[in-house]
Amino acid sequence: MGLLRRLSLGAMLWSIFLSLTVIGISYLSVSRKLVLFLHPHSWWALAPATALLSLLSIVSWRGLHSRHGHNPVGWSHALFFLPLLLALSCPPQMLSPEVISKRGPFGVLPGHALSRSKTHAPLPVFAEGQPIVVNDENFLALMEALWENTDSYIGRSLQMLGFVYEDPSLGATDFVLARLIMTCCAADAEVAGLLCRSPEKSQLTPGQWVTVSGTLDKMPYYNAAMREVVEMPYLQVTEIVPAEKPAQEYIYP
Amino acid sequence: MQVQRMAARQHDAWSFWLLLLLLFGAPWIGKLILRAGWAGYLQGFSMIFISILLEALPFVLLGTLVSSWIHLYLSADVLLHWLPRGHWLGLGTAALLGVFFPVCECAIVPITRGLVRKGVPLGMAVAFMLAVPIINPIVLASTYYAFNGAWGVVLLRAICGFLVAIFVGDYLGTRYKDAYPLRTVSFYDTTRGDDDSCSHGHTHGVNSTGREGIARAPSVWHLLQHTSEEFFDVGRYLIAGAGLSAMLQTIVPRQWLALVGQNNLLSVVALMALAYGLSLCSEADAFIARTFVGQFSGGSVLAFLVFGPMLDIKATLLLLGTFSGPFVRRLAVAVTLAALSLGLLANAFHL
Repeated sequence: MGLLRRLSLGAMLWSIFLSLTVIGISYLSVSRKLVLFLHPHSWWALAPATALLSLLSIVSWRGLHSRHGHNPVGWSHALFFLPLLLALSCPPQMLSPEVISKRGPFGVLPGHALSRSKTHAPLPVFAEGQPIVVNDENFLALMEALWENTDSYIGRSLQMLGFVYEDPSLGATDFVLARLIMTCCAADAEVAGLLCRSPEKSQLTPGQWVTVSGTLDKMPYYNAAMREVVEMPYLQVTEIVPAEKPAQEYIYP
Repeated sequence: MQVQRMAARQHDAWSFWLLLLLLFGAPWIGKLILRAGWAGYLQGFSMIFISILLEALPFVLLGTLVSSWIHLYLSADVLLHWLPRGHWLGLGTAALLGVFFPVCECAIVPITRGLVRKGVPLGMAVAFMLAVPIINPIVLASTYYAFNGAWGVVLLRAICGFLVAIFVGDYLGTRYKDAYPLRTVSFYDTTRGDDDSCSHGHTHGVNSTGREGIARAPSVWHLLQHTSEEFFDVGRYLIAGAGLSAMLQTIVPRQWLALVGQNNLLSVVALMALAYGLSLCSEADAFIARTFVGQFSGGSVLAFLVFGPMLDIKATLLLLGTFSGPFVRRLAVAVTLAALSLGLLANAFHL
């Protein structure tokens, strides 16, 4: 305690915060858990930031004995520790179904993926009679194609992995087989997916990962925003198999 | 006096150990609370909150570093010598500087503080602060990609951003001609009011070993120390802003927005409110705006693209940590009214 008495506790907390932030960011990048927070294309900025933070933490360790600038422990310190506390108590994972359901139905409606697929993989070609298999790479391109040329896909069989997303505007046997699209960080994640119709819907829970197979068809859908009825592609489900969540939970356009 | 200091010391010690205890106990606290029914909300809040912080951190750090550099190294004489003379010429130049400084809104607030402290005319500083997050190569390129190469949208966004920036810059520059807009009382030092003393409680010319009176050129060490203090000053507002934005995104459902999408007035208000609450980085917001096209009026999408980078929850908190309350209020009202009118105007012309 004798040593502590001579140090500024506020300054010490500050340097502990800086050091822990450096450790935390390094851990997230090395374990690649950072993909749950940030699109890989924005990681580059964290490298110089972490380097600067380490320098700052060294500077503030050295400044602990400085008499001038008394830095009392206060709410500011608690505020800085809040993200660290949350990060330690809530292990990183994909957004929870409760929060996803607040993000609106925009992604389910036409026009959701448009621009992104242009910079993404080209539309894969599946031979006539062969099932269309949706994966991380072709997801956006296929969803866009389904919206734009709905008629040419009617009757085709399709298989896709996704999580169950429910929307109050949908019927009792309908759900969306969805993926989350991360443009920059988890705060801008949007729901996109394919409407599915299955009598077994009641056995599914929101957020559950499933592999769904079925046949593509279209139905009229009332778009509340446009106040008009649009043609909506959907999957008449033949089989639902519970699945493990994929290694990469988000789609990164 | 001695008793008071002892009490403060004791309070410090209590808070210190409490915070450390919470930190080390966090994994176990987590295990307990994650069993509760609202654990999904907490988990979602935590992910959104931390991801906003991780996204903003590098740019806020860059902002505080540049601001400290301006404070320590840039001579006010040189800076003022290089500024253009005319009122409108100055505002216009400031608004276009983003072409050379591609930074987004998190970095710009601390940099603007550094510039105002150096004596840059307030109107120019405000125009610079508002325009840079829109009129810069990275943001305009991402708008171009998001809207499938529609040059019209890119140009409209840039022109509207420019107009709002110089209009608000002119208004605030005139309004605060003889008044001081910065927060004069800093957290670190409540006794000293003059802002020139760096407002962090240490005097310049004191080197790291604390030997006073040896005035010499500021070292890299000094720059880092200043950056650390400035980051402490700005960082807590960033965290508060990110927390508020994450809370809104966790609690408020966005579905109701779709119901007013085609209303000329309400759609503009709704998307401006969304831009304010989401606190998106201006490099990413065009991709979100793209998903509203068709469902929302053109003017509302434009207002989203112009208003979002200039003002959102995160930026409001950062501004409140830098400027005086009345100043931030005037800035917010002016920016809101300007963006709203542009959105309504665009709707009137069916853009």
